Amino acid sequence: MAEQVSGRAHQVTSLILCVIGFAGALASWRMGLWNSGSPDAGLLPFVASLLLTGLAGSAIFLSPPETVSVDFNAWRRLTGYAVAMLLFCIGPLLVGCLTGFAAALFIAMSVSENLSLRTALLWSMCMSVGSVLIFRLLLGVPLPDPFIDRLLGL
Amino acid sequence: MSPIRLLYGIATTCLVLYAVPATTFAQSAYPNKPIRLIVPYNPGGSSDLTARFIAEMAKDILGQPVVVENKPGAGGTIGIGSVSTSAPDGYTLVQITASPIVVRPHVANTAYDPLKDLTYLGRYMVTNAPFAVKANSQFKTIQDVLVFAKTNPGKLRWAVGAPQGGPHLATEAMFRAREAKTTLIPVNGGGEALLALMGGSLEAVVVDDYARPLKDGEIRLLAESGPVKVVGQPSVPTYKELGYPISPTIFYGIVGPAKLPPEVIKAWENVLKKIVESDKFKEMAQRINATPYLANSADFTLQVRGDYTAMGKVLADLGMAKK
Amino acid sequence: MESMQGILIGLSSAASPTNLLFCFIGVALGTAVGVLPGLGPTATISLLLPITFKMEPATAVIMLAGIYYGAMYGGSITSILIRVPGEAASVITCIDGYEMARQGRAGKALGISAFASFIAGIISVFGMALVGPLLASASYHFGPVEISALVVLGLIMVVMISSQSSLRALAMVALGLLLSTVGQDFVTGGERFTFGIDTLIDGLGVAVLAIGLFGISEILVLAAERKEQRTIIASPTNMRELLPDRNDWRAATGPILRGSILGFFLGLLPGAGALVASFASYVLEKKVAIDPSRFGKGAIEGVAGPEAANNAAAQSAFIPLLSLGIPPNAVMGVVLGALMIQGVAPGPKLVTDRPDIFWGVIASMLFGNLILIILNVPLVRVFVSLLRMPTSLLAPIILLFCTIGAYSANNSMVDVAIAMGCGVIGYGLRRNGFDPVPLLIAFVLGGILEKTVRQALLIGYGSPSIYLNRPIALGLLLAAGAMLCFPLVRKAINRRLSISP
Repeated sequence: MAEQVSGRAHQVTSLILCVIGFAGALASWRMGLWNSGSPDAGLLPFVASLLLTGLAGSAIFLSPPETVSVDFNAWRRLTGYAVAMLLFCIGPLLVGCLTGFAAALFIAMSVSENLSLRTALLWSMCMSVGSVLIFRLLLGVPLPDPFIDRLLGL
Repeated sequence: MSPIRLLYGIATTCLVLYAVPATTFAQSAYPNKPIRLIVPYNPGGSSDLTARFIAEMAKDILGQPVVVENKPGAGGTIGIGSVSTSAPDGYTLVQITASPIVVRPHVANTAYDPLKDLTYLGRYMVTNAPFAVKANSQFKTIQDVLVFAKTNPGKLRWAVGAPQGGPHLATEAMFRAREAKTTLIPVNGGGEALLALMGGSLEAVVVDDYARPLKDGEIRLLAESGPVKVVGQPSVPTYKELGYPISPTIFYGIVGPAKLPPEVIKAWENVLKKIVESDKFKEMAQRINATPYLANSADFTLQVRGDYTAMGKVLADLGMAKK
Repeated sequence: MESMQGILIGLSSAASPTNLLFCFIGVALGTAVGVLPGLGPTATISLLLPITFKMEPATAVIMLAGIYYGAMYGGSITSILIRVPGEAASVITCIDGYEMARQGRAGKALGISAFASFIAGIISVFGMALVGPLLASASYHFGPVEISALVVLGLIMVVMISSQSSLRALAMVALGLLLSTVGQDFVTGGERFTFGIDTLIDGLGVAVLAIGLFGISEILVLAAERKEQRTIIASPTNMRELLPDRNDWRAATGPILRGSILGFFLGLLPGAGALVASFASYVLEKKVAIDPSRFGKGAIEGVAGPEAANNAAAQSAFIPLLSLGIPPNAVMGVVLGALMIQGVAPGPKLVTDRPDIFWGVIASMLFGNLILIILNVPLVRVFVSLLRMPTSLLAPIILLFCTIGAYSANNSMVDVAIAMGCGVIGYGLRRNGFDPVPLLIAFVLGGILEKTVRQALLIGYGSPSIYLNRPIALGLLLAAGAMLCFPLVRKAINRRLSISP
């Protein structure tokens, strides 16, 4: 079962790349390939897209590459990380970096890494506070956080 | 205390702190907290350097730190856009130059309308962007260049330090007025343009970092694209003197979102006046080949409006204005 | 000889207590900055700019230079230990360096990386002293035409090495070329593939791309594949395994020397830089290796060469800056600004007018590299023990640093989203047999290639015959052609040999 899944997965990937190439070729064709004696904006994307379509298309018919068969627990771990990644992106904008990072880390640690809730909570809060302190206050990277802004009176 | 209670306690505290509005502090004179000065370009350029210089000097005059933050991207429009939508309390300002204000809004959609969404606090300097050729070039005056370009279409290869900027478009307009067809080579900045000029890949450049090559005798200036003459080069004519339609000012100023309170405007007019008239600033400007050129809020706004309208017309004539 | 006199002036200038102190501060800061992913020398240098206003110009440049090449030392540390490039230029070290760490050879990787950087730094200093000023004027002759020919050569090499691997690697080259076109078109100003997102107007950032494709994808790979492995890097069993042994040195000597020279020359070219130098070294080493299949699986040559190259290039980049006043990249641009504000205008006269600055900076790099190697070697032990943390704890923390790193590139959350997206894409590609390395190389080269080829054609009045008129460019293109034909020629000769009696 696992081998069949991985076999089709690699073909799907090649197909996706092929489609991207096709779309790219269309879009760059519209940008124009040649303009009064020299390449126009679309030339390189067009050539690259054609190559991608051809190469990825041929890759569909290759034998599957060596990959480790997927352990079904992996889906849970991966989903946990997917949620954490989403939280890393939107969290800081909605609730600020401190909370956003802490939430994302917590999800990653508890759901994906199977750490106990207490350990996950402790570490996520510590790492979040520590990193925001170092990067925002010490190094001046303007991580968005309304909480800290208020603290600093900005 | 049990961990759960502790957690609840922390959560409640956070919520309370979020909910308390910041303006419960007593209102005192502007400024009563640090000011953010956004520079919409990468660090190291003249915008960034002068902004940091001004920020350092302003700190002593205003009594509060002025913190410079770089927000580069899209030719300066990202940084300016972010300030135009911020609260008009005078604590978020942006340093501007000409292109994203008087040029770009005509050719692309920007997040701000320069005439409506910004308050012009003051201008502090202008720079030159002259038309230059190699010192041993066959061209001795700008007329030579124009005649050559007309009789040899496509043979004059030139580059600009700031594409789509005022000097670029003014030069295009000049070529067009003389029916000259030229080849513009796109480059990344004045440094690359000068390198290509010295290497023989170009015949002419329009850049603002001309001073060192000029001093070392590597280049010769033929004309100046702005209304202000090149420092120490009175014999170099400006496009305006030559009768070409547009000579935009390459100005550097400080700007904030629309509807800034009058006390903020006054405070910054005062700051810039003190800074621009100081010897320290004059010395710095000389080193980076800029001319201190103070304008207060009203005059600056007038100048910007004038340039904006004029550029709009030029761009429409060149067919480059957005539909 | 003028150079000798200059070097002596430089040494005495660099050895002054103030300059030594700020050299130390610079390289220490640089290493720290390099270790942190995403936070680059540019941000640090601009933060320190106001302080430099009050310094002597020589001291200012010595410190800023220290930050720059120090970052090259630090950048490789995270590349090796957690596969997240601390500096965009260190991304190549991720490939074999990380594999070495997974095999329990992290100490060796870190050690060879530090020593390679050191040796390259010293070689680069001597190169700068001996031929620097002469080569500066040679930069005039290396314009867009020549650079485009060089990049063509580079791309051909990448293609040839990828084709040995597979069709899939070639597809990655094509994808990389396509991705390099995202953003505002350099020539026409039109927007390509930006989908209305403002931050994409300036294109996809290589740092963000690298963090996503290499670092974040690795987190996902670990999440999916890990069963019993408790630590990301296997711990070495005894002290001796912590540092490179005689075999490692024997294998690494060639790559270090080749990488240093390659990096030195590439650093002189405007537009090339440390990143391209490390790519070039990797590609070169793979080409000359007796067994190229070891690359990607923990070949020490894949760490030694690129590390040497990127350090040599970071230092030699100061030659075009100081001799011509032309900053070859954004970081140098900031240094140029710092000098200008001090009233020092770098250019051809700087060598004669201010030898204390010119030669002082070059000489300070000797001291800087010395300080760095003394700092870094003990750090190897510290870092290796730091990462004995269990993966289950480390992986989310690495994800946090990737986030902060991607954000700090342009202070934008959009970059974080792009990095996360690239992480997912990178994971998908890697699980299905597609290697992201050629993608990244093609991405970087593609950008340079398109820009310089179009410039070249415009310079040639729209005709490709410009390449015939420029001897250097022509030579490079012929070399590229030879590289393409060589395997075919060899095959034909072999066939002849096997047929003839």
